[in-house]
Amino acid sequence: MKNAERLLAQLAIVAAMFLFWEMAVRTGLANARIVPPPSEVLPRTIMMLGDPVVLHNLWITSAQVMLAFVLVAPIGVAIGLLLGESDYFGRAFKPFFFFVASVPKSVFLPVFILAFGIGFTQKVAFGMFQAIFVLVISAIAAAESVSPDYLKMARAYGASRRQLYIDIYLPAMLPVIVEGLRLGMIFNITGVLFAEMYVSRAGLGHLVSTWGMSFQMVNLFAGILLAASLSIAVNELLRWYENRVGAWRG
Amino acid sequence: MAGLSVVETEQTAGSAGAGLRVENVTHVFETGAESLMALKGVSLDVEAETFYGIVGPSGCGKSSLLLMMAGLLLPSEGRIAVGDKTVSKPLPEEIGVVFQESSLLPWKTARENVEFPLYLRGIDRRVRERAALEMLELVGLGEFANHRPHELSGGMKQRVAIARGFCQDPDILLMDEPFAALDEQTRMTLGDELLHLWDRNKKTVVFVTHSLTEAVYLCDKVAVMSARPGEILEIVDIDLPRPRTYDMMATEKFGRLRARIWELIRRTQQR
Amino acid sequence: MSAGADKTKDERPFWLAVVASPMTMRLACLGAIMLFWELAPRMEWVSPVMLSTLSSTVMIGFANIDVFLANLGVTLGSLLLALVIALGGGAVVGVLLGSIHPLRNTLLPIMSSIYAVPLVVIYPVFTAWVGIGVESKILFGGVYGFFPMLLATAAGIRTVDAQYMLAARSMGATRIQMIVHIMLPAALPSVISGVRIGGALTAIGVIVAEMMAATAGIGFLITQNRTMFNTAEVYFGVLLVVVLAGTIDWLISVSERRAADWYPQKVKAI
Repeated sequence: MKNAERLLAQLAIVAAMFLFWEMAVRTGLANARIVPPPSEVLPRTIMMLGDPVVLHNLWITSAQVMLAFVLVAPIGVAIGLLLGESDYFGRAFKPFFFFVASVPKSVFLPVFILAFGIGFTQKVAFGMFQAIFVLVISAIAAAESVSPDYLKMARAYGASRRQLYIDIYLPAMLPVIVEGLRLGMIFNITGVLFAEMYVSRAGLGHLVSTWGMSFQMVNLFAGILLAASLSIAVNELLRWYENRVGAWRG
Repeated sequence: MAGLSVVETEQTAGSAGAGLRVENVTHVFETGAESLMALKGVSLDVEAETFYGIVGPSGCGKSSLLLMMAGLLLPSEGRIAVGDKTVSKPLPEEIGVVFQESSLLPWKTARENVEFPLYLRGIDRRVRERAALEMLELVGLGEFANHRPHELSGGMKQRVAIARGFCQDPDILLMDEPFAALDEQTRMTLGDELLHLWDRNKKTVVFVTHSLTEAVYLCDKVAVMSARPGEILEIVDIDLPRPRTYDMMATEKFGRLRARIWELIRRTQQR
Repeated sequence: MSAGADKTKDERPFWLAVVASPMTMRLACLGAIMLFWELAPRMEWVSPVMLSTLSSTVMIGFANIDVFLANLGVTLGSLLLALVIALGGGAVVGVLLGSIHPLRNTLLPIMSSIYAVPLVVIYPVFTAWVGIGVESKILFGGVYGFFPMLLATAAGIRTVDAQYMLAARSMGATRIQMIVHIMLPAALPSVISGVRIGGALTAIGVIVAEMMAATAGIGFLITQNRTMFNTAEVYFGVLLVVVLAGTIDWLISVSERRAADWYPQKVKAI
């Protein structure tokens, strides 16, 4: 199947799902009071993009997500590269990161509230905390994925240390690191939204949570659709970049 | 060979036609408390512009020896020299290496891979591009210059790796089982192409291989090594005329040389 | 980097080698963290509301251990049911999507896009539909772990060596026999890693649900204590979850390594 054809088929499937959803509500298969039809939800989502209250909260969420990402990305990648390249630090601290990566980090949220209160700082810190482990682990994997064959070859041809970094390490590691950034971004977004839904006075998560508790189902579904499409867009953008720098992986 | 001559002007004068001397080299691996002797008192005199083979049973240290010749590994004792220069680090202007195809950089195209050694030396982009394209033409991959390794077959990849070694244009070219990953038919074809390249562009070649037929067919001399610790058992003169042709393989002389090498290896394996 | 000699003969005295070993470093860091945990609140470097001392955390926690265990039991019960939905459902749909050609090419990318959606935002839908009892967190945990299990299973099925399939077909295997005898066993390493990731996410889903709206469970207990500023109880609850999850994950990873031992292709890949 060609790419365009596949994309068309995918769009058709998504459209069919919305159609099924609409028909289910219309025919009374689903209760319209608790499952609002897409014919109401989709226009509401569009309207939200012009609603100053929603936009303000969306901006707060985005600012937290972006700040957390900008702060955590270099830290996580640097730690991961150190652990992947240095035998000593790797053996000392890799088990720690693998262990923490395997436990549910959401359970730490109350601790962040105790430490930072509720607000911007706490959300950013929690987003960073959610993202850092996957960043570290993929950077370790990236460092370990550099084939010794390439290094041996480049050294035999007289590569300087700088040339080794720029021409071997960097291109070899980049796709894996970008993949880690993408996963870190997903965890970061999830962490910030969760923190906003848990206890907060602002943000998209806060809005969604309020709509849910007050049974404003159309708003709730529209808000979910908004959060979902924004996350998918960010994910696809990073995935596009990942495929571009990793096209050579074949 | 215009591309190559452009690069040659970059070379230090007087190094043309260098040979390689291995003087009483011993190599000991230190792994914690244990130490393992891989090579013991190996001496070789590789004269300029000869095609020199090294064969031996698996684990006899021939790959370590090659790494030392490339300046990537230091001998525990003894020394390796090009002219009067001791090899203690990679000398890309004098010594080149053809690695197995797995050393091609997957994110670079065939042409970028071939010109990589020249790029590392800071040679002008247009010069190195032209040299690389010519080299690719010579190995029959002109039209694949912009393909990445994962789009090429194993034989094509190995051709690119050979082109890369020649493009670097050193006096001495080391090859570590370059055809090991290929099927027999491809190996034979590539062997012929390699001889052809070497004919047009005489270099000192040190060729490590597992294949006895390949060693006899390609080389002027073949050093046969013993099982670990690797020592030189015998240096077999391959006094077949050049250019080598396939019908030589059917001659009695070819068979005798091959059998002689096999006899030496068989005996050291039983030991 | 100029020369390549790797002579790493250790000339250091024995005691220095022990002190400077990575293991010692790790233990020293762990000790430092525990020491800081104890001293920081005690010396009032940080407010005791932010952090309770390690000793009081453990003591208060064990004084109330029955409450913690009862709520942990509720959580584990919900988790078990959620795992059935997540792992069972994910495996079945994964096999379907992985083995049917046109489906996997069109649907799998959609599924992995859904993976990017922060699923927390749909929890209010579940509470609106079924209330804040156990049903909502079982459903939510099930949905949370479903997609990774599906993707891992489908990926495992997809990478089954075509040679095996060809050999089985030449011996006259039926479609069901192919799935049971070839596809599932060959996909097992991937499926097990799906169980590990999907299982972890299911647990996260259940606990997250309990934290946001629930009437019982360890997540609920932690949140309840946080609103009452019972700092020691909060930390003890978190510690309990971390230790439990870490142990379970370790057990799974051990069995995963076992599975890898049975599978030569997996060993070769390492």
